[in-house]
Amino acid sequence: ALWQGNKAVPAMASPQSYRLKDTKVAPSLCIYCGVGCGLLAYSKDGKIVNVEGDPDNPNNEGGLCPKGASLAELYSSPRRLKKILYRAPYSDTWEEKEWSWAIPEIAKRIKATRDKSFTKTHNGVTVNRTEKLAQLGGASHDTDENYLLMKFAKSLGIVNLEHQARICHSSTVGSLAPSFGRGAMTNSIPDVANADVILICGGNPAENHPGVSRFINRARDKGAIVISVDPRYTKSSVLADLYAPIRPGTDVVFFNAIANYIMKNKKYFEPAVVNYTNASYILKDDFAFKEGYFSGWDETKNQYDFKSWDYQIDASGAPLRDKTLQNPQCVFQHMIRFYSRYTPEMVEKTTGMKQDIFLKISEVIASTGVPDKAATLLYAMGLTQHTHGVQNIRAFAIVQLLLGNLGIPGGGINAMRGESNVQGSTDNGLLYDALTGYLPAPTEQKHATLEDYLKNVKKPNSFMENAPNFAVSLLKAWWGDKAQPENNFCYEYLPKYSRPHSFMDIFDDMYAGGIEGMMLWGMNPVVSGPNYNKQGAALEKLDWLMAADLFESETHRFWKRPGVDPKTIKTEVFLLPAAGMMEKDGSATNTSRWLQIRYKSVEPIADSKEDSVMIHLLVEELKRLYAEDANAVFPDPIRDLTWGYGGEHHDTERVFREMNGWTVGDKKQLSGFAQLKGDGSTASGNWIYCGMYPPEGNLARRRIPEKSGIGIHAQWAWAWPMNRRILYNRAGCDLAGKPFSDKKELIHWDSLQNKWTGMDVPDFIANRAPSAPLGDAPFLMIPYGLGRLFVPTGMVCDGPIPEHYESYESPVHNTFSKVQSNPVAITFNSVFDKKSEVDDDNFPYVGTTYRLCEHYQSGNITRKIKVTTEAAPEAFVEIDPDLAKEKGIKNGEFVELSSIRGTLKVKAFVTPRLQPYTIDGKKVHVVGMPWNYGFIGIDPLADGNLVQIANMLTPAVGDPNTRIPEYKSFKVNVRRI
Amino acid sequence: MSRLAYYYDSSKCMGCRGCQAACKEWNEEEVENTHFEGSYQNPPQLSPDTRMIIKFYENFEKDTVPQLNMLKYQCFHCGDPACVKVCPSGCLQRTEDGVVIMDKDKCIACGYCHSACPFTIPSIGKTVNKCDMCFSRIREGSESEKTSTPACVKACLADALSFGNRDELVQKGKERVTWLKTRGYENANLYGESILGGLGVLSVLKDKPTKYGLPEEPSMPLEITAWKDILNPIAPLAFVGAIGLSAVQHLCALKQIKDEKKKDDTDKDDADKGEK
Amino acid sequence: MMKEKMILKHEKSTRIFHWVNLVIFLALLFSGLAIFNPNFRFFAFLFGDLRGAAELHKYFGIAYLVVPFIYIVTHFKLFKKFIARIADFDEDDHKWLKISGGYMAPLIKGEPPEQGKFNAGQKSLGWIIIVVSCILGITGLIMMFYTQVPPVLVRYSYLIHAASGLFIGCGILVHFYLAAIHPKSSKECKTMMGNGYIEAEFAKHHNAKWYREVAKEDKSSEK
Ligand SMILES: Nc1nc2c(c(=O)[nH]1)N[C@H]1C(S)=C(S)[C@@H](COP(=O)(O)OP(=O)(O)OC[C@H]3O[C@@H](n4cnc5c(=O)[nH]c(N)nc54)[C@H](O)[C@@H]3O)O[C@H]1N2
Ligand SMILES: Nc1nc2c(c(=O)[nH]1)N[C@H]1C(S)=C(S)[C@@H](COP(=O)(O)OP(=O)(O)OC[C@H]3O[C@@H](n4cnc5c(=O)[nH]c(N)nc54)[C@H](O)[C@@H]3O)O[C@H]1N2
Ligand code: HEM
Ligand code: HEM
Ligand code: SF4
Ligand code: SF4
Ligand code: SF4
Ligand code: SF4
Ligand code: SF4
Ligand SMILES: [Mo]
Repeated sequence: ALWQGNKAVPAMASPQSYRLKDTKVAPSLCIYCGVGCGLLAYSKDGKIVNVEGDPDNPNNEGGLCPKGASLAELYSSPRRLKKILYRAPYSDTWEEKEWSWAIPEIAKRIKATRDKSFTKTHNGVTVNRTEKLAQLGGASHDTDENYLLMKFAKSLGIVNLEHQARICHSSTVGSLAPSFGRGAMTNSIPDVANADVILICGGNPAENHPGVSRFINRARDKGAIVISVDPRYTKSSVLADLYAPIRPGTDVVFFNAIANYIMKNKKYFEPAVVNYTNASYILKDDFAFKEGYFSGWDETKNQYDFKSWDYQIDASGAPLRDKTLQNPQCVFQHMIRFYSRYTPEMVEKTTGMKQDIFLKISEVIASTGVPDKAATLLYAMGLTQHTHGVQNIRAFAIVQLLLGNLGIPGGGINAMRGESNVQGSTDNGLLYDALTGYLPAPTEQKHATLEDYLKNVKKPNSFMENAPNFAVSLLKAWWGDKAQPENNFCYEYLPKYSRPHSFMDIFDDMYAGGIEGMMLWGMNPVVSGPNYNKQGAALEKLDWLMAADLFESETHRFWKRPGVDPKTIKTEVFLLPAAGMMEKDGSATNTSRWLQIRYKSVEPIADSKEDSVMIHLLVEELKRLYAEDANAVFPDPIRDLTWGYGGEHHDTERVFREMNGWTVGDKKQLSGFAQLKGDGSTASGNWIYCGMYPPEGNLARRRIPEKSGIGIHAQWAWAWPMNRRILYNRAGCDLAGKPFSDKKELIHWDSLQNKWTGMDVPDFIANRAPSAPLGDAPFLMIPYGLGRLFVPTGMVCDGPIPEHYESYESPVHNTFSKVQSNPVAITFNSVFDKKSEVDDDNFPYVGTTYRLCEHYQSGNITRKIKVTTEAAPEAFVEIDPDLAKEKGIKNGEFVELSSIRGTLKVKAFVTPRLQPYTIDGKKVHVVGMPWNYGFIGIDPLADGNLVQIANMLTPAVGDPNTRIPEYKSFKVNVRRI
Repeated sequence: MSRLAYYYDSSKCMGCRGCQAACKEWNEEEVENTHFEGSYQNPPQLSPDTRMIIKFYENFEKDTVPQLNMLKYQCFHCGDPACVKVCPSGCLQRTEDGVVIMDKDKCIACGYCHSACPFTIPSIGKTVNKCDMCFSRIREGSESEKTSTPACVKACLADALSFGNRDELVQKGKERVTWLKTRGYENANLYGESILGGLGVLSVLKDKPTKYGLPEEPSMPLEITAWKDILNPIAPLAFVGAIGLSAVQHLCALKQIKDEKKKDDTDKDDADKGEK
Repeated sequence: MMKEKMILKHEKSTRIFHWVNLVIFLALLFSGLAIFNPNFRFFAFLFGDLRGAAELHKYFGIAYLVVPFIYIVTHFKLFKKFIARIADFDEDDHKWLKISGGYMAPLIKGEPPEQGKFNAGQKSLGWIIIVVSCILGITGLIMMFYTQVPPVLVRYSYLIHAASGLFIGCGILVHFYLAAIHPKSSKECKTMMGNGYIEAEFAKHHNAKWYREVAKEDKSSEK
């Protein structure tokens, strides 16, 4: 044509060919964060060619963050482990090995270490434990695998048993369980869309739970006010209507001041406060708070005597109440007095948040103290990882109880759990102090016999009256026919611990030479644990380390970390290549407690095997070794352990059937935990999962998203307990069982049918009438069923109500009392455990750590994936422009970042999103660093000698309730170089 | 035919870059050797291996809260695309439903499209690279798996992206702008409603376009119109002209020769006569 | 037939240069046109396909700048002389231009005045080629390194480069016609394209001024 104008070409086929032609597709789940996004894995000729979001999955509706969107590379990455790697003592290289060699070798070492260190009795109590073996990890594994890992570890007598939950959300469990009865996120991700006010504080969902943002935005579309409170203006702040900065470690002040505002201005929801909380309980006369300490402080022992932290009781043992809330000794009056110190002035003085914005936020949050409005809190590590982590969350739990924001859509406390399956691993125990389903692990001191144990876990006047049924059914599941009433259902087979074996304790012990061998299932503690130098030094004391992983990590190569000579390190290392998520059938329980299922697309690459298969191989080999060895130490728990899940052909269904449970007589699947019995006639591996696999089949496989409605999604997968999606939903109804507001209705009492019904499964005894005893007490896991504003008896050991203490390391003096930091915080005494005191000017700034959206955790996977590494190639330290100017630091250049424990060379990110704080008249700078970097990866600074690990700086100190490390607030210095 | 478009809402975007990763993965692009250079933004710009990035703009004015503005940056699928106008090879084309697609096999890597584009979007390596609205997906993808929407749109977890009929999206954008204004974003605007023939990527911005590094009122460059709409069509005519001129000269020359011959002949005749 | 007296009009180096330049130029013209306008797309076959044309255009473009540069440096005297000749524009040249050198007779009538080695048309062509080539070179380089240059400049370069190319292309077409096809041009053609000699008789006629110059030199050299 002569005229080459801008004409459109008619509809035409694409010049590029369509990539998904002739592919097979299988639904899967993202392996990263707790949102639990669904994936579709497309494969062709047995190879993964593409991965994208599953549009049917209500968590993501087809969406994926950069980590999920690049998961096809998990399969294709050249860095994937393809062979078993073995590092001999004092060697400086890996050798490749075969499975036929590795499994027997590892099993031999497990047995040797166990048998050598096995303690049968201690202080006259049968303890049957080994303290020299350790097992870490689980949150990267499937729910069914977690259950197997738990069985495996407990049968060996391992008490050094920990996983990510400890250093992650343990504070959540430690605060929500005493407050409401359970330690889980109360609502669900899609339910965030129903909120009227969303407070994002102590979490950064845009980076770390990107899937939640859709529902934040939806709520906002519907009129919700979104508030972001964070030391930095974050990507989540972008979604907010109100932003306020907060100095790390001062959330208790902020939350308490909101509670004070609510009480002072009578904005609380009175029916809920009076009827559904323990506000009306009368406290013992000697309960008091003075000069930073609660009553019962013993200066000599440095601990509390909890006697005074309790209610006055009547003859039946029930707490005395004053429903007028006027009694000066009632919880509410105590609170009014205690909280009166938390004024807006003190907020500004301590947290650095300006009073006017604080008041604005308080007003918005308090506005939900009415029936038809709900506020929710979205949080994660910003609140948990403190020496007062439990109190942080408690402080807001109290706000929610005051506002009546529990048990309704858009309310609750949404603890955004971290890993894809940290919920599932926590549900299955995998902690030194837990059994499955949040039953406590037996201790030497309190649980010498089964009788002691059952008496101890049974909580009258609550649903935990039934705990003995759950515990005995568990023993039946594990030791089958061997578990009989005569032998206390093999209760002796369970190890009993007598001192803490938390994550930090294990490494402290290890450094002291107390641990000989460790099994590491998908963890990277050299990067993720506090105080890098201590972590590394501790591992050197191990005789052997077994690790299962998809990629070689900093921990696996600890013997060759920058600055050490492999020739001086004795530890043997076995590194087993694990199959990736698309290479196996599996499952994960996301933060909403939804158990979802994934399906295998392709075979495991090269020599890799499913983790479950590795566990099978080890168990089978150990069973063989113990059967062969006449002199074996206490082989019974291993020998008798029930184990039949298909071996090399691991069958998740068999595991789920056992977790759910059956009647022992006819192996009929049970339909719910109400059917569990304490006489040995039922078996159930994890009582909270009972009901997921009734006779009609595996309910977790359901794939029907809700088309209309408020986002309950009752037909999508399955949620524990009993498919209840919003916990404590009885609390959304008045005493008579009528919803406080039609707008916020979930369930109601149907007097015609004589049961609770509604769009959600009632989190209550279905036929317990409102007028029946405890029929008006919504928190059914707590004795007498009322939410706890005040936590009695030291269940929360550093205070029944939250008091502000500074972080363990802080450049600021406590403005509230002379007690500088949590008086009962956990500390350690190795040479690596150093502290910079308040007035030590060598480290004048507040340091904090956090994550980037593109990288997951220690980055051991995402820093091997090209697309995520390209988008976030290098670590940096965020510095406010003021400080940068003062120090002559330019954006993008290397600086020296140090704490008393270590020094890093890292690039500076001078950003106006951080601004200096004025605290008590003094200028305080906050600097922060993502902890997703290490020294192995395809990122440009890795594989060199530059350690980019934020935990070089952090102290190994912890919350006294849960022993979580304080990763979020410590003292640092920044220098130009 | 009604136009297709996609829609980006900066007030919902959280800068997660799921879209950026999805775009790379879907289009099987190579990654770049990036470094931290003082911003979240990475790769720092579009390139032959990167057809879309999230741009980050940070701001702080005294006594206000900090600002972090994100922009999803890629080809905007102009209604009147300069790139298509200048593309000599037919590589870039605009479909009737408003997608500016490319047929990489045809590209001659001349770079015209890059410089002609008001945003200098197309990047040229061995061949051109730019967003093609995931044309193969929207033509052949499956409705139920949502692979019939662009990879980036599907990936967005924040509801910040949507895809569909342009008129409807314009409507949606206008409503969102009104909503934002009620939430205090006085300068909120819908970018791309009518500029450059109406963009095929509609962006809701919380602030003025300049805060997102975008030109306020881009238009088809005049020199491009002169070059492609005026000079180009007259090119063959110019040669016709030149040939014509030569032909006229030729005719003249033939005439001259004839005249000269005549003259010669008559001279000769005269001479002959004289000899006789 | 009696042998005509021949005189040297174009040095060997000049002729080689002209040939080389000719090839490069045509390659540029054809490839450029193929890119520029779909009506000339068929030229692309000369270079394989359009991609080849685009690729080669760049290489030839560079050559088109480098070759004259080398020529000028190595034959600076000749070049200076050439410039001097075409710069020398006198009354006769103006007159010549006014009547188009008589080429358009009988459309434009008039008796062409005496000319030097190059007639006024050739002089103009010389200038046009030099100036437009420079423009093409500069704009071409800008187009080649477009990422390093502000896009506005690049866009103007497109316009100017194309316009210049078009113009000079047409110019050369006419040049070609006059030099090779025009019934009266065969002699000159043989000179430049051949051995460089021209019949003295012809020169006397067409390049009278130059002929006298040469004749004078001849005589002095005879001494
Ligand atoms: N992309 C990505 N996603 C992840 C992970 C990941 O590594 N990468 N990890 C997963 C895991 S295991 C977890 S536990 C979650 C963690 O999820 P988040 O808790 O959201 O993670 P962080 O980035 O560690 O911390 C969140 C925010 O807390 C702020 N902060 C620091 N100190 C304080 C404080 O004292 N008070 C308050 N209010 N805020 C503070 C930080 O500035 C940061 O913005 O994310 C999960 N999702
Ligand atoms: N400074 C600082 N430190 C922190 C935090 C912080 O906020 N600040 N956060 C803490 C928190 S919340 C957490 S949860 C921890 C996390 O700490 P870690 O769990 O140690 O860190 P990850 O990088 O998640 O390690 C998981 C490992 O499992 C591997 N893996 C993944 N999938 C599989 C699988 O299917 N099978 C097997 N066998 N292996 C697999 C991965 O490759 C990786 O090596 O870090 C803590 N560390
Ligand atoms: C002197 C050195 C020259 C250089 C460096 C040069 C460079 C270029 C470049 C880079 C292009 C863009 C096409 C592409 O990249 O594939 C181009 C196009 C073109 N060139 Fe040249 N060129 C030169 C000389 C010439 C000459 C002498 C002519 C004319 C005879 C010419 C005619 C053209 C034409 C017609 C186009 C197409 C323009 C369009 O499509 O608008 N070029 N040239
Ligand atoms: C296409 C075929 C061409 C032919 C047949 C041709 C022929 C000639 C001839 C016969 C002359 C000598 C005129 C004289 O004796 O005074 C000449 C001169 C010249 N040619 Fe060409 N030429 C051609 C192409 C070109 C090209 C492509 C260029 C430059 C880009 C060029 C540049 C010149 C110049 C500068 C002169 C000297 C000045 C002038 O005579 O105008 N020619 N050409
Ligand atoms: S990391 Fe979390 S938000 Fe991202 S795709 Fe995976 S599950 Fe979804
Ligand atoms: S934005 Fe640029 S590349 Fe995209 S259609 Fe418009 S002119 Fe072409
Ligand atoms: S670079 Fe390719 S796509 Fe761009 S204008 Fe040239 S031929 Fe067309
Ligand atoms: S539409 Fe496709 S090509 Fe364009 S930015 Fe999105 S993913 Fe990339
Ligand atoms: S995926 Fe959505 S929220 Fe994330 S950067 Fe892209 S547009 Fe923004
Ligand atoms: Mo975590």
